[in-house]
Amino acid sequence: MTDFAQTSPILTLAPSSPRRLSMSAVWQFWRRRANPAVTLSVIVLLVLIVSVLLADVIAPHDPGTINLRGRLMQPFQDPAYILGTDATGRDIFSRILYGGQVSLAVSLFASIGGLLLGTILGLVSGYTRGLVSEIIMYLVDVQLALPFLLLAVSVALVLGTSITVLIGLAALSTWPIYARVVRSSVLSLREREFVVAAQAVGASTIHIMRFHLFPNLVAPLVVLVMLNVGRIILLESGLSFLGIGVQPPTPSWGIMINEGREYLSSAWWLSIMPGIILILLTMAVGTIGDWLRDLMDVSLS
Amino acid sequence: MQVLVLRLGRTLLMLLGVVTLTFLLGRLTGDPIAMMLPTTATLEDYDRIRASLGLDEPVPVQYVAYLRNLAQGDFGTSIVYNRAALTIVLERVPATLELGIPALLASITLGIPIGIWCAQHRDSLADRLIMSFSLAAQSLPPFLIGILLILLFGVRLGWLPTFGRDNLAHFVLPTLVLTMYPLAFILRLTRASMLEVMNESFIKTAHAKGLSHYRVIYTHALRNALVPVVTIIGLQIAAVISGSAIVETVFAWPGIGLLAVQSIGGRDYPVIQTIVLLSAAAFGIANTLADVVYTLIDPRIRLQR
Amino acid sequence: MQRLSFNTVRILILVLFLLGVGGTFSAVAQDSSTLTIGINAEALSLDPHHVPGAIIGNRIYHMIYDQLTRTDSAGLVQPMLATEWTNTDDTTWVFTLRPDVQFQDGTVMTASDVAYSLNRLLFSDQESLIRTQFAPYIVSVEATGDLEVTITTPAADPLLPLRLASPYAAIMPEAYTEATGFDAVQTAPIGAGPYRVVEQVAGERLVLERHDNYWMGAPEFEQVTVRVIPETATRIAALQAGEVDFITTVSPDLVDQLNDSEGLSVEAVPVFNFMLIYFNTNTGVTANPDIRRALSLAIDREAIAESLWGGRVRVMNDYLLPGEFGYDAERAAFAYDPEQAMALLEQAGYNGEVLEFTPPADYYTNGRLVTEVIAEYWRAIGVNVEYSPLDTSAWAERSLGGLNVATLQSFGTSGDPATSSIVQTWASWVGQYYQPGDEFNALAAEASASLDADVRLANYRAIIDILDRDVPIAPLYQSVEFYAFRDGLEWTPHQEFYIDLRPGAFSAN
Repeated sequence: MTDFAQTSPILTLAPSSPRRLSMSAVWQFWRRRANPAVTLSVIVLLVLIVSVLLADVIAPHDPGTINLRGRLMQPFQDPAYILGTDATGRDIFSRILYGGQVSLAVSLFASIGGLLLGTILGLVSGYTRGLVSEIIMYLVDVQLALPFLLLAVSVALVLGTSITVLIGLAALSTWPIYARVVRSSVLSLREREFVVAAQAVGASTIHIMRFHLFPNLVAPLVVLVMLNVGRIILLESGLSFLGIGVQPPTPSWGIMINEGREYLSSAWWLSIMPGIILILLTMAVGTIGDWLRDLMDVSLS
Repeated sequence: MQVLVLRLGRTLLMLLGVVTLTFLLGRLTGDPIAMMLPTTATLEDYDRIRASLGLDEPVPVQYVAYLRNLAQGDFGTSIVYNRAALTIVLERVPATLELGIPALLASITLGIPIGIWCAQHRDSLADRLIMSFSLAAQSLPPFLIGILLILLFGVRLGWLPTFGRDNLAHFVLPTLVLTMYPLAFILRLTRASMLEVMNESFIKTAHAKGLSHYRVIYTHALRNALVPVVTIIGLQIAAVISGSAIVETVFAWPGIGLLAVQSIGGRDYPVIQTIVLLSAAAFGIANTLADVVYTLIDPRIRLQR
Repeated sequence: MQRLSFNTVRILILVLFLLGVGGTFSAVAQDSSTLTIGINAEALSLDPHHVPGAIIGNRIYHMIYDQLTRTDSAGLVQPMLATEWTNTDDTTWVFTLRPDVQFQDGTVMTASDVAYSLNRLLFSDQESLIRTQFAPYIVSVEATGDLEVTITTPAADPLLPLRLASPYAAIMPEAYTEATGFDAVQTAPIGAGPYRVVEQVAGERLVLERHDNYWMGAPEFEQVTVRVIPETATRIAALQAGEVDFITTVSPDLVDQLNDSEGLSVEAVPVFNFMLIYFNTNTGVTANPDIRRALSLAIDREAIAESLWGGRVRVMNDYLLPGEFGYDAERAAFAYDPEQAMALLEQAGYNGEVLEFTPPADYYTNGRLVTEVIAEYWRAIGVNVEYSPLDTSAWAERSLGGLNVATLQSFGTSGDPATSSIVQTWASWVGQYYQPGDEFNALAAEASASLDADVRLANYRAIIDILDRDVPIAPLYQSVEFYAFRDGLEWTPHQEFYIDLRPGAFSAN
């Protein structure tokens, strides 16, 4: 659901055996095990990202322009509005393009935020142990125990529902998972020879984290991030369903899907069009994520 | 045993954290009276009613009073319903369990075998299809899936009821929606975990020793692969509660999810806090249980942190 | 491998079985002796004396309770549990009660039950938000005979009988209510109304049974079940699937679709309530009356009514409603004149200052769409609008804090300007946004205490001239509630937003 924290495949990547991910390894693997689904996913993802970035150029209409005479037009009914119009006559195609900017930005920045927070806290907690480590894990516990959606709704009510708040919430929803993965990896890594050796020659803690621990964590983290992208967009739609997450005219995919829900039996395209785009995005990113994980399995054998 | 006591201590500490957090968020989120005030009420009426609910006290005073009452088993009185918050929440718990438990059971009993099967038939057409489907299942908002199912099975085909909680047939659609997420998730996790374990040296050794394939899979590999799965099942409790907020709203299912949504809308703090506290407690207990099951699956793991 | 596929088959069979069971159960018999209503939100408490001012309980209370008086569909006061009333002096009212009225527990209503009920509403130890609507107007209620109740008001008040027609002034039996206790009455009350509460399952259903000895005669349905279905899409699906007979709160855009579906129809019921934009006349851009007038002129109300409401709402032409005392049917509708609006802006020296527009997003039917369109109209005359729809509670709090600059609101009435928001509300928290001044207050005070219809009419029209001059609000359209129901139900809707189940109002065939 919208609880990524709980539904993220944390321990899929329990790093009993650390692997490094490099561009050349990806390329090698691509040459050996490319498959059409992955190729297609890469293409879909690129097309989505490029068209969203070029919304100003591609979009036939302003996403906020209301047209009371052209409300709820069906897709293809008017060639100027290929995906139809919404309840105030705004062009759905243009709204999807501009909405993508919001949704993708939220996904991207939230992933980075959650990743940074989780990785740093996880590294600290795993490497130092002691009181700080305990406090960090306590915070993880508290957050995982809260039904996240309810927490998110409360936070959104306090701080409003600007894009910044959404990004913050989505980041907040993922960090415990990154922290746990990183921590358990570090716990096993720190017993490895190369870390022990680095400690023996007197390398600083920061140096060990940066140059010995972190590179080994990149691979599992990349995969985790890939699997979370779609869920972050869903968070926004879940909040919006619960009456929070109301936004000024700037659309986003999650909000568009929600706004169209009452029209599902009459003007289905309001929800379904952005829904299809969301499925495309999630499946493309997920397929690539799966493939990357396979890559790491293979590189082991 | 001592470890178990320690775990319980941690759980209590965790609950205190949860209580504090929800209390603070509740006090910051707003004012339950503002929404209920008729356009004929004056600002004096407003102040008087706030005072009668103790909302005019400083926040720390309210917090201490809240903890003291909580320690005596008093969860407060619902501002909206004029009744004890705990009674209201407990009335709704069975409905949520009726959905949540089957959803969890179904995702476990379907997710684990299918995950194992996919791992064994990695990259087969069926595996690819199941994996794609599980991705798709996780990429649409549950309310959208719920409404589409209602329109299809309830209205178009007329096979299943559209809402409510009257008999067995009413369970099908909401349970289905609530199951999709954890099912897809457990399935993917089991598959990945199996694949990983099957690459481990002890499995290869077992194969080399000439043990039968099934024996290797079902005793050695599975036992190890299930460790992360069991952990995650504990975590699914909170996910199911969040999920039920949406599913219960769509299907007009009178459980604590729907109550939570309505109480947040009405800023009914005592009810919200009771719900969060109860679900966090359920989460704490489930995770302690998961740890115990853990040691049964793999005796090498000791209860520790 | 083989075992697994066997399991799969078993699961498939189980799923098919469940679907089969579903098929058998979901066929709902349309029994004309029962009525199932799908409602969008639950009544918070069944005790009308101690509820918040939310309109939602209103729909339920009329099923369970009667009051001393009622308003008919034209908005006129009619006898109910009281048969007649007289003023013995300016501030003393004597109500004669209807004899042989039975409560749902079989006891016969006496004057002491009535006095008990009204005193419970006005003075009980339990805090009550609804009390503020009555407390300023009543000093005491006493039983002065077996069937005679005397009510004293603080000043002459021709509207007392109208005030007592409110569903919050419900009459309950003293013996039962006292013996049951406050907590239990919240879910298991007894009234004198057409239906008795059998069972309330929180968040799920309210089951009502016909009150066979109801004084107006036995109501139509033996049993009425009110189901709570918050999600509009689901509520409509439930009606289409035949699981409920009647639903409230249909979205305007779905009316045509439902009207077109076989076996269903939609009733658009204008309610005694209208939507408006109110402005903060004290601070911000809207402190200037010319700008407020410009904002009002910029809104094409006809276009909104036509496209967003399918022409099913009546655009406001007055600050009062048809059926309300003093309403002027001849007055022209509030004008749409963007050019004059722009001229006014220029005259006011408007120079691109931000106008914060903070309506509630989901509170009012269609509120979101209507306000989006209004924001566009304002932008079209060159106003720099910052449109931020708020969730209901944030909006309510902001309103109460006096922080709005412009927002969407509804104003209600119960048939007379003296009880309507347009006259009364400025004395409440809404007065933070507009202070109508001494002249207005004097006119209102004189009108509400006067028994002379001409004086009252003249005063109310003078009040409206003041509103026209000051433009504290821009009325939009009269609210409409859409109900959808299956064919075979005959129903006479009531303007006061409730579902009338009394004999004659509702029947099935």
